[in-house]
Amino acid sequence: MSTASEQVAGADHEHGHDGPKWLQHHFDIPVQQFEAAKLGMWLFLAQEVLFFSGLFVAYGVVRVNHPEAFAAGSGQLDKIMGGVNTIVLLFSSLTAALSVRSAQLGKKSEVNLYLLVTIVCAFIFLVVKYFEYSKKFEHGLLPGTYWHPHLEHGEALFPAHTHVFFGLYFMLTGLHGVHVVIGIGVLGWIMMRNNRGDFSPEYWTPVDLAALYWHLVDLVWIYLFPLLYLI
Amino acid sequence: MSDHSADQPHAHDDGAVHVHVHSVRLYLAVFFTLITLTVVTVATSYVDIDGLIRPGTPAGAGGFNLALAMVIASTKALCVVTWFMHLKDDNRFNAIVLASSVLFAGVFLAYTINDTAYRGQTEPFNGVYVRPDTGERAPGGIDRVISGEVPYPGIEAPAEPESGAAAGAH
Repeated sequence: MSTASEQVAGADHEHGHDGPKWLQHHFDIPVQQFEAAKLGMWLFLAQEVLFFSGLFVAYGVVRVNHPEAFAAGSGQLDKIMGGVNTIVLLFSSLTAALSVRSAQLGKKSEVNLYLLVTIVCAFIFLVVKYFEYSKKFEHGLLPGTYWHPHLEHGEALFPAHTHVFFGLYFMLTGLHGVHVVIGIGVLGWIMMRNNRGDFSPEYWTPVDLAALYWHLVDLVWIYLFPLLYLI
Repeated sequence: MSDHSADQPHAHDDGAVHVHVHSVRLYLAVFFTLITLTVVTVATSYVDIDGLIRPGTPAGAGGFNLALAMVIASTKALCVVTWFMHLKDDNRFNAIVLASSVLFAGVFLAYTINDTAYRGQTEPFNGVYVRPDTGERAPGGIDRVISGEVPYPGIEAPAEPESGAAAGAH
């Protein structure tokens, strides 16, 4: 490794080595810690992709067999509400990216502001989702045995297997919604640490990793929106 | 300082983290690209491209609307991972990690659909109770009609199975 590794080679081996306090004891230099943290986060995000892939494959399999059910189910979703939520999430992704930028520059109050906007967007997303869900509940557009469609004009006719579309809709958006809720917690925690003064232009890795998670939530929605609402 | 020569990605003397801080303008440009693509994909969803190319395609059955929407979504995803998630500046290995997960999700999807979508074609008697040619119970045949659903044409409840044929099915 580099010559910097020798600086912690003191025989006393106590925790008070000369590195900054955010540098973990088992890392020699900041850049090593940074790269390790980023790689770890990317491995987690790769796992998230595979975690969601099961439901996407289920979507594909059922769609190939019952395209008419998917067209009918998709037609019941509100493109405008979905589109608004897409824009809200994209905007929150922008502010998340800007919070990392501000952290890199050491602008503490800007980091706070951008994180706050990101969290507010997450709540807006959930509120819109709540209105969408309650409408589906009202109309009985529910999966499995809870399927009892009754739209404005009495009994509605849907192709067979349309309830499977709504099963996938609730599972996919529900799992995504859980990620949004967790994201609110993670971003709030990073905000608290920012206020505590944990970050500096030398150390902003946690802000970066939290933003990476938030971008993944956005990425999943980028695919969910057209698959569920548009086609 | 996005110095990503593969062998020594961050060979700086002080061991500190050096990244290139992008301009706000770049992030805004990415954001507005994403918004534009969102508007485009919503707009194209109102156009029945499949119906235009092959008139009479039932809703949802064609592939062109789907393919276009997926191309647009993937372009958006690429914008997000490249700039918002900094894969452009990162150690290349992180991009490989993401690409490999996407690759395996693709393998998962392709192989599963290749199986499920063509089952009826490899087994011509899938979906019938009784083979019309021999009168035997069809292997893998659907043996009940799910209540409330319109059965496919060709599925009929089996007539009293002859004892010989039923025993021979096993």
